[in-house]
Amino acid sequence: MCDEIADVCAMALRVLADNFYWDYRNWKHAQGEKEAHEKELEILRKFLEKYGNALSGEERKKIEHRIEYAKDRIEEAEKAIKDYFNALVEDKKELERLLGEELSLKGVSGKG
Amino acid sequence: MELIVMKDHEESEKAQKIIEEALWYGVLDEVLHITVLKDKSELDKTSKDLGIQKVPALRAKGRWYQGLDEIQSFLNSFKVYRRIKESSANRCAVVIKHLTKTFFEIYHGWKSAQAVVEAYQKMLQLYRNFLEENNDVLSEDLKAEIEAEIAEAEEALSAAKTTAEEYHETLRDLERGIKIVFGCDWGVM
Repeated sequence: MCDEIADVCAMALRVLADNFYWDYRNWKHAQGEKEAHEKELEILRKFLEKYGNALSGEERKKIEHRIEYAKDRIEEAEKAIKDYFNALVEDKKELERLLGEELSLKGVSGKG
Repeated sequence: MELIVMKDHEESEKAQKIIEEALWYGVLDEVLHITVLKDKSELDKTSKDLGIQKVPALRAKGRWYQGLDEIQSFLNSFKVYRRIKESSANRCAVVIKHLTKTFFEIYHGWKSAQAVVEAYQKMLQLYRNFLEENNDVLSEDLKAEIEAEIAEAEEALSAAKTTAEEYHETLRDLERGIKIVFGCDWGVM
C-alpha cells in the first residue's frame, strides 16, 4: 500500500470504526434490554406464583399488566436486535472491503 | 389444638409455619401442641392410634385436617385470615413493583456498560490491526491520529469496565434485598 492510499484508508477507517462501534454497542445494548426485561418478567411471574392467590383483584391486575408490558418490550427489543445486527453485518462488509481482508470478530457471527 | 408433623418433611415445616403465623395474627386462639415424629415407624404407630392417614395433620374444632392443602383450606375458611394474607400480599406487590423496576434499570445499566466495553475492544482491535499492517506506510499525521484514537478508546474502555463492575455489585446487593424481603431465592442472576 503506498503512503497516500494508506492515509485515505486510515481516514475511512476512523469513520467506519466509529459506525461499527455504535452499531455494535446498540446491538449489545438491545440484547441487554431484552435480557433485563426477561429477568423482570421472571421475578414478576415468580411473585404471582407465590402470592397470586392471596392478592386482591386490583393488585393482581397491576402485576399482570406489568407482565404484559415486559413481554411487549421483549418483542420490541428482539426487533431492535435484528435491525442492529443487519446494520452490523453491513459495517463488517464495508470494513472488509476497506481493509481487504476478512474480519474475524468474535460475537458478530450470530444474531445474538 | 394438636399438630402432628414429621421431622425433615417440607410439607410439615410449611404447615407448622402457617399455623404459627395464624396464631401470631390472632386468627386462632387455642393452645397449640406439636408432636414431631422422627421416622416411619413412629408415623405408622401414630396413624393407627389417632386414625390419621397422613402428616401434617391438625386437630382443630373437633376434627382432623390432614395434609397441607386441608390445613390451608381450614385457615382460609377464616375471613380475617384471608384479609390478613391479602393485605400482606398487596404490600409485597407494591414492593416487588418498585424492586423489579430498579432491578431492570440496574441490570440494563450493567449490560449496557458491558456493551460499551465490548464495542471499544472491537474498535481497538480494528485500529491496532490496521496500525500493525500499515505502520511503515502511514504518514506521521495519520499515524498520530490513529494512535490518539487508540489512547482515547483505551481510556474509555477502562472507565466502562469500572462502571460495569459497579453495576454488577449493585445488582448483587439488590438481589440480596429481594431475597431478604421475600424470603426466597429468585435465582435471577
